[in-house]
Amino acid sequence: MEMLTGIALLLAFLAVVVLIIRGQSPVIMLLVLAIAWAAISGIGVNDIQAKILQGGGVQFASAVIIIVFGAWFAQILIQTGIAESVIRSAVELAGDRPMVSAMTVTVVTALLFTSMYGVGAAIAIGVIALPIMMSQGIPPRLAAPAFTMGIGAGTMVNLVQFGTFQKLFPGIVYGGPHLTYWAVGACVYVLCAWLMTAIVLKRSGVRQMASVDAAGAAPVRRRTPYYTYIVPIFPVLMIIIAKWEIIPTFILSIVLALALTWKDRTVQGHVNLFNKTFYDAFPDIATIAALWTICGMIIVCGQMPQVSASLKPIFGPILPHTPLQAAIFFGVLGGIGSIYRGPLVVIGTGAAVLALVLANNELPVPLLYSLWLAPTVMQGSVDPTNSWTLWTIGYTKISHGDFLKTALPFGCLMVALNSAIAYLMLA
Amino acid sequence: MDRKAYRIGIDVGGTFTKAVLIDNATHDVVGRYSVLTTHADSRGVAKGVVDVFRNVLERSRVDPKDVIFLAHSTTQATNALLEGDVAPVGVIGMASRVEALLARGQSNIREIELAPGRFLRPAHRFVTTSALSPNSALAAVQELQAEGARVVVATSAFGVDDHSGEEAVRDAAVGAGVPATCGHEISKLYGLTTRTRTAVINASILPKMIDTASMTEASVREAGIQAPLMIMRGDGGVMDIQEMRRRPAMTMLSGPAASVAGALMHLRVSDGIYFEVGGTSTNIGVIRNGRPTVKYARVGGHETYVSSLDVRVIGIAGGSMVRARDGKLVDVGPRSAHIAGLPYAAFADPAVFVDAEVELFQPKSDDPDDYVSIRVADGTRYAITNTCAANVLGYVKPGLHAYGNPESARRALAPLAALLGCPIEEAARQILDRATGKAVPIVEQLIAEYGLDRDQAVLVGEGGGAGALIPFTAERMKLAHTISKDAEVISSIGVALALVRESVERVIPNPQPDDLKAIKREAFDAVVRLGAAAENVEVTIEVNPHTQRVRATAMGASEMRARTRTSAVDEAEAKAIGARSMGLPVEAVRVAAETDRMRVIQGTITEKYWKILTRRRHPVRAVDLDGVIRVQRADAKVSRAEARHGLDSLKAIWEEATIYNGDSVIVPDMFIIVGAQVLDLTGVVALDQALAVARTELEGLSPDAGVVFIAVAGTRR
Repeated sequence: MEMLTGIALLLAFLAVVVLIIRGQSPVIMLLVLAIAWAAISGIGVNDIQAKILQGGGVQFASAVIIIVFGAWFAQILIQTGIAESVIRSAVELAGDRPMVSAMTVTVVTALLFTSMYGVGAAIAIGVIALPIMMSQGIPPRLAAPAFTMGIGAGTMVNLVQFGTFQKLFPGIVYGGPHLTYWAVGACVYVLCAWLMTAIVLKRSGVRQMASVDAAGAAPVRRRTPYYTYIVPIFPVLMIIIAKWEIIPTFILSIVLALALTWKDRTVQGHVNLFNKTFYDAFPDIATIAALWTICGMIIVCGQMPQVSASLKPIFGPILPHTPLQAAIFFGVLGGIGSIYRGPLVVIGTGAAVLALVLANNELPVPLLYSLWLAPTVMQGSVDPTNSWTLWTIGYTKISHGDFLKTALPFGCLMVALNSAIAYLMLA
Repeated sequence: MDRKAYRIGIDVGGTFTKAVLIDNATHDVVGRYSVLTTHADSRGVAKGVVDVFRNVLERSRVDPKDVIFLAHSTTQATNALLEGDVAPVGVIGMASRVEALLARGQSNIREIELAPGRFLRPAHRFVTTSALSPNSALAAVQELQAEGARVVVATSAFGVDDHSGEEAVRDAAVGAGVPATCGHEISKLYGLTTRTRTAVINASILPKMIDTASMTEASVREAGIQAPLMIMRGDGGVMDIQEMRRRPAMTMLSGPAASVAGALMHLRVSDGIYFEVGGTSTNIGVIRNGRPTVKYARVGGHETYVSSLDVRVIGIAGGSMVRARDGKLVDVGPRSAHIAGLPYAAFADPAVFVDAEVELFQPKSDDPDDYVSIRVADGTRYAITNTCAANVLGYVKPGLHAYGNPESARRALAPLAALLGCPIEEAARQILDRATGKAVPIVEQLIAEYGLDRDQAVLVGEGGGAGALIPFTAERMKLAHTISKDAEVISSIGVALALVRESVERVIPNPQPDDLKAIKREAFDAVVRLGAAAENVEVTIEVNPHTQRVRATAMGASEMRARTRTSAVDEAEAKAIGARSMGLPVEAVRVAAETDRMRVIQGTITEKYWKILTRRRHPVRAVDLDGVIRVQRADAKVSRAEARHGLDSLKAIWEEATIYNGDSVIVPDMFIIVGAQVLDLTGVVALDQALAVARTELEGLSPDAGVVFIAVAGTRR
């Protein structure tokens, strides 16, 4: 009986995985999965509505709030012009060798995204960085991943990333050897992106892009002074050095950004900007917030005894039980399993997998998080259905196929390398 | 009183300088004349230009005062650079102290290789912005002069945002009697090094171009023409002499630009690959959706930010000669009969080919010595060229410039065929195979790069040598081709009909309606200043998908516009054009919507997938009154609204076509058609932006004017 239930659960899981990969709305599908699992395992309607839907939704609400603050900070960086100034300076003074430009964009984007989050942030940086790369002759199919991998690398150390997953992986801290690994992992990703840039440019050379220039008069927005360039990495430094929590760090960083650009507006202007950016943060992250809430439900559902008992025998052999197994599992499958919101994406059907692994309680949670981080970050930069990756692909007008052909090998390389490094450093 | 008005277009090619005289009202060619390009004259090519337009005027007995538009294309910029015929340049770089760490090195352009072995090595000085003053600027200029610089480039880090430093240096230089160029004038893009390099290239040809411009202008005045002399830009626009004095680099590749202009306006090509086949070289480029494709010019292997048409040049043309050795055909070209000083066999009298023999020779000192010439009894030598081969095989129709005497060609080819051990036709075929073999990969590359439909990739032949190469290439690649009867003067016609055009571009990440209004006004004013008749100026706004810039392009014919274009396409024709493009029968398409100057044709195609399921899609083609397809999509929704409801309709359609899916929002590709203008909003991500751009366009329209929306739902692929 349990076997049958287990198989039914597995089928439901696979069906949802396939449907999501084929493009159905993840929010709807995951909600269906949570309810389906509960129903198949015999959990009553009252428990479903109270424990899974309500309980699950509420349990991870703190993740959503962290995302809001992260997006708020990003809006401040954008609307004060600091983010734009950083990337413009980088590009103006990067020289004219396309390879150097692309590499500069990757690393500067990574630095910016150690604290920035949200699709609005990606767009604000992308609209400056991508055209410059392409006008220097970098093929669009390279410019796109060079940019998104920069975002990915920054995400490894990103506060919002950490803050939101903190609830899912109980017990992780932003510090210690794990933080060191995350920083190393970020560098590895940047290096993989550089490797990709070097190989693609050597093989295909530069390509002309169309643009018409004109001689006119009025200048564009003024850049912010150079000392403001510290603001994007200030939150990370704050947490490492002063060991503050995430929300207060963001609030302080927001105030700092406004303070350092105090000349640009009146007092009322500051108040306005403070409020407006908070307001503007929400549309940015609305859909991510929805996803997080639903994933919470899946996690709660997957950890309910009725469900996990049925699933253990089925998933048992596949899931890793020891650190070494975990390193190999994620190193090999992490890349492929994350594309198109595959089964290893935590903010997706991977939530179910996570629930099971946590229920098994065999692996130290910080190690699990560190191992799962590389595939997560890769999904955030190479999965064409991820919001900012999707935007970048649309903006550079390339096809999914071209993008993946260029980016996927190096994304998977990064995952494999980082899994090995994580295992060696942390196990 | 109806005064006759005329336009003169002059195309300065590598071999010939050709002029046409066109009736401004009917656009008929009423006169033509050509001379050999006078590279070697003391006045340079200006002499040829003047000769040719004097002649064309005299022969048609037209009063110089009736000439309202006079323009010429030029190869001078490209040639000067390719031959290294440039002035020494001095660069003054500027940046703040912090930026100087990087900027100092980046503004110091070591050397630019213009041609193998020919280098441009600018002198360099650097001044920090805090130390910049009229005195320090003047001192720097004088130091550069002492090192031999004859022209100065002022370039500053972030000069695009803040012109003051560059302007100050320029003022100092001009005050000291030295011409100067600023980085921000040449390009608005970021990237100090590339901007500087482009400015250096521009500056190096400045002195010479200014001289030529002055000479030509003086001669034009002498001849009694009062219309301003315009010069064709490499991106297809025209500029006046003042502008050329400031930015001569914009004329790079203006020759090919002329051929495209001719193809667009005279031949009404909307999709195709044009070949300008001259005597020595051929220019190949693409026209797509009625527009040519633009890129940045590369000089000496370096990128510049000077935009010009994407034209590929190959050393194969009507006059390319054959190379043979040891009974085998080695190659065709690049050396041409004209440069080698030999007449074409195909244009000779068949009677001269007595005792014809193959004689191998070396045309110029660095050439290989196995070029084929045919020596006849009286000692004269003739060249066997692609034109001769094409005549033998009958590819050249009578009436084309390349049509010679097939019998002469056969007689000339006979000894070569004997050498190769094959029949004459076979020899001719081998020659053309080898020759077109150089063009075929370029055409394939263009088709791939620009995503041309093979059914629509027509090879358009221009230039005197078109008949020699185009038919054979088309047959070989299984593509259609056309060669107009005016082929050899298409470029000149292009220049003559060149509309006045000017673009203004701004980086505006979040454009507000006022920004857009301002930029439209700027473009409008600019083009009127250049001589366009205000009532006919059209300003289009584009949000460029790749650069998030707003670009306003104003276009108008230079004054005195008597009537609209020669014959507007009617509904039946428009449907036929659309149907043909979609691959459907005319009865299967309908006019889905229209404005007073554009019709949107739509059809329905049912396709099967997975063998049992069917799906329908609705392709669209927007056809303007010239019969040019301006928008084409494989599947779209078309709707029409009155201008007063325009914004509401846009909002509704946009939202309906947007897909909300998990954590991504997929916005539609949107086109708005107002009158004859197509607003391309495919790069716009946010509805607010789309509304802002639309608002500006709809302003000034009468409330019941029709506006058409074409929405293409975003897809995962």
